[in-house]
Amino acid sequence: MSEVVIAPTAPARWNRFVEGTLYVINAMAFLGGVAILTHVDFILRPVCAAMLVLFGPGTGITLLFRSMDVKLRYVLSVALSLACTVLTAEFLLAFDHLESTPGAMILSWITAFGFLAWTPQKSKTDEPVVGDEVAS
Amino acid sequence: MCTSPHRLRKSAHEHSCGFELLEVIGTLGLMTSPGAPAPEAREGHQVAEEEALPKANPASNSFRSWYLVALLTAWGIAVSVYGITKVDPGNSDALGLISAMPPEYFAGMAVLICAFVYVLSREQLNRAVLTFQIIAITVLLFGVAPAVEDIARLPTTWVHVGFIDYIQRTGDLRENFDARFAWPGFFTAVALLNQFADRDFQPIVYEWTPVVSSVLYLLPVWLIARGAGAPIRAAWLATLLFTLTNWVGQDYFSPQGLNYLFALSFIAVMLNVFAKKSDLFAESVTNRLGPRLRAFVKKFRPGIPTIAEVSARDRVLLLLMLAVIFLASITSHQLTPFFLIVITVALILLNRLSLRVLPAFMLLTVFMWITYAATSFWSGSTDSIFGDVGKVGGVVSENVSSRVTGDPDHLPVIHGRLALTLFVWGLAFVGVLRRLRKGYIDLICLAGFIAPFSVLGGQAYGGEAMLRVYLFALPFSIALAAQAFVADDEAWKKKRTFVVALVAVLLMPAFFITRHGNEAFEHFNKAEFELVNRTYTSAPPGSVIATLNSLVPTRGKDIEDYHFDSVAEDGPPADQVKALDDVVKAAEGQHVFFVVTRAQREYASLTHGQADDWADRYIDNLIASGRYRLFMENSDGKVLVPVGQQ
Repeated sequence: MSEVVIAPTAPARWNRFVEGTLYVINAMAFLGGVAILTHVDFILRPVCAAMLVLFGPGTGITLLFRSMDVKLRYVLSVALSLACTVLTAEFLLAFDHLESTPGAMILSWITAFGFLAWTPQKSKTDEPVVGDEVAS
Repeated sequence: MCTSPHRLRKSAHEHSCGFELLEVIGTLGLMTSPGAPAPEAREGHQVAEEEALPKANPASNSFRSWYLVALLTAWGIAVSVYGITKVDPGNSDALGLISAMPPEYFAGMAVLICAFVYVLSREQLNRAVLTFQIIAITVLLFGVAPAVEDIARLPTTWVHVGFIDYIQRTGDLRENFDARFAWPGFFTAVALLNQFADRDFQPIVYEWTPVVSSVLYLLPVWLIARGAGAPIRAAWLATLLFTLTNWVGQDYFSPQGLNYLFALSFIAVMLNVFAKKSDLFAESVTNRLGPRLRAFVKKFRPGIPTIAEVSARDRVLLLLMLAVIFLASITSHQLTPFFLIVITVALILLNRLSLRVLPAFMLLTVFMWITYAATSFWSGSTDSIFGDVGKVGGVVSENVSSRVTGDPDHLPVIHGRLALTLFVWGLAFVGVLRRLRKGYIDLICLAGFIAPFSVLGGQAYGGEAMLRVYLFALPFSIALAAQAFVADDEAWKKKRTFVVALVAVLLMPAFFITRHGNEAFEHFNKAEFELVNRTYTSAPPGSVIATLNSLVPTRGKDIEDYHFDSVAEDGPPADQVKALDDVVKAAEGQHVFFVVTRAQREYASLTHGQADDWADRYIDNLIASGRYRLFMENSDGKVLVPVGQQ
């Protein structure tokens, strides 16, 4: 049997903080999607668009994986969000509907998955976080 | 001076800030130290890697020490930013942007890099500080060009902008126009983003994409290093080395920049979730070996991957996520999926990956896309696609030796790129040897490092295949290179800190020479951009916009309304006037505008070895021929039109 590293236990506070930021990002991305869908015209609209495209669908999906290492979730959040945007754009282009409303609708729906994962947090003190290192 | 910093700590009970500076200097190797005793490596049972790290010395984690780290980091950032404000890209010469950089910038960055290495050398890692520092280093390295230049660099950026403009206006793809339209995922996604934003913010995105991309690459690179079995400090060091040696510059506003993120994320998840926990070779294989050979093989272990404990349900869902990322990659870039396939296959062949069915899915989906959606690309041009198959020597020659030409003053840039590439690979080789001495064979890193080279057997990719091989091998080669310094998680020897800091600081100017060595012709200023826009305003649809070469920010809009041509792309034409006459003749009565700008002149001078005033003399010859006249000009360019054209 070769050596395999089992993840050490990370401090619960740190875990909660990092996971909390994912929830915040998810909520901001969803609000961005809502702003686009309701055609609100304001100065931060590009920021809303960037939030939705960079983090929306990815956080929506990865927040469902409560036990997964948070670093993997961050990586997947960005990559999946961009992948979903690419595939959504391709899909809309194929049906001659490359417009903001259906695009934002699809991405916001996927983003909303993140809310399904929301439950009041219990202590995760002893939960292992894979690949993590000890916080000082 | 042979005083240990630890001893100093004891004697100077009440620390002063001056002492803390001494400690940092000592840790950087200017003073010697015995270092902490290395814990013995544990075998045969599972251990938490961080347990193998020495226990923290309370004195070494003193508040004042961290205070000094914060001070050095802040000072490094502030001085670097001050240095950036003094950069004028117009002063770039044959060595590129580095010739326009003030010493303050390098001083600030050197301090910042040393502060990072110092934190890395501490007995207990502080990931928050390391994360902040590596992001700051990345932003300050990759942010210089966008911060000081007027508009987005590289002509290809503007070609992509033109594609997006077309898709956004027409909601369709232009068939038989450019091969890249057969992989439109990136362009359609940005067109959708533009519609979401509904505001003219795109120029900022074009300009700052390299910075955002490079920051987003960091975490996947860290995870790949960890997933490939690199020790924790080596993983952090790998992110620093990755930033300093990523000179290829494919992170600009392009499909390949996005796809590199897809690829890194794909590999990071694959290694951290689906890597195999088995021994180097299966029992069935080792049982067939003779007793001596078996004993020899048994001496080595694979690197220690940090495998995520994931439930069966989550594994299936994660596999679906990987499939989504791969599908997005297939639709948006022609080359990335093939690199992912060869790396995945190599990992499976070496028994390092459990996803045996994945390559079949990848190949099938790539085949489906090429045969269905990319038909317009390959039909009628099979010779250009498959003509290089098996011609590895020719491909290498096209990618390497044919590029070592141009102005003698510019050759150090090209030689520097070759040297840095060989340095990284050489360092990776040293890393392999050091790990072997420790009893490890990092098969994952080796597979990821070597597999991309197989692409050289298939396509020259316009002379850029070798660049892409370097780029896709980089996360693995750099993980191995980092292990040349940190082969295991034994206590960090103080002398090593000095060597690591020195190498990292020396890599910084190398980064600028190799990455921004072409800046004289790869950046555009306002005057050039304004001249191009005025040409667009004057040129009716159907006009031909001719240039010396492609180093000009044309093609950024209305690509269907104009034709583009160049007269000296591969060097000066034999008959200068006739070269433009041929363009006019081919235009069949349409308007022709001959645009010559500063970047084109620099390109002709630095890559084709032409005299500095060659382009000006060309223009004079055209006017002297009596067939062309000056249509308009500004400080950085001229536009000529045929005599008689309104």
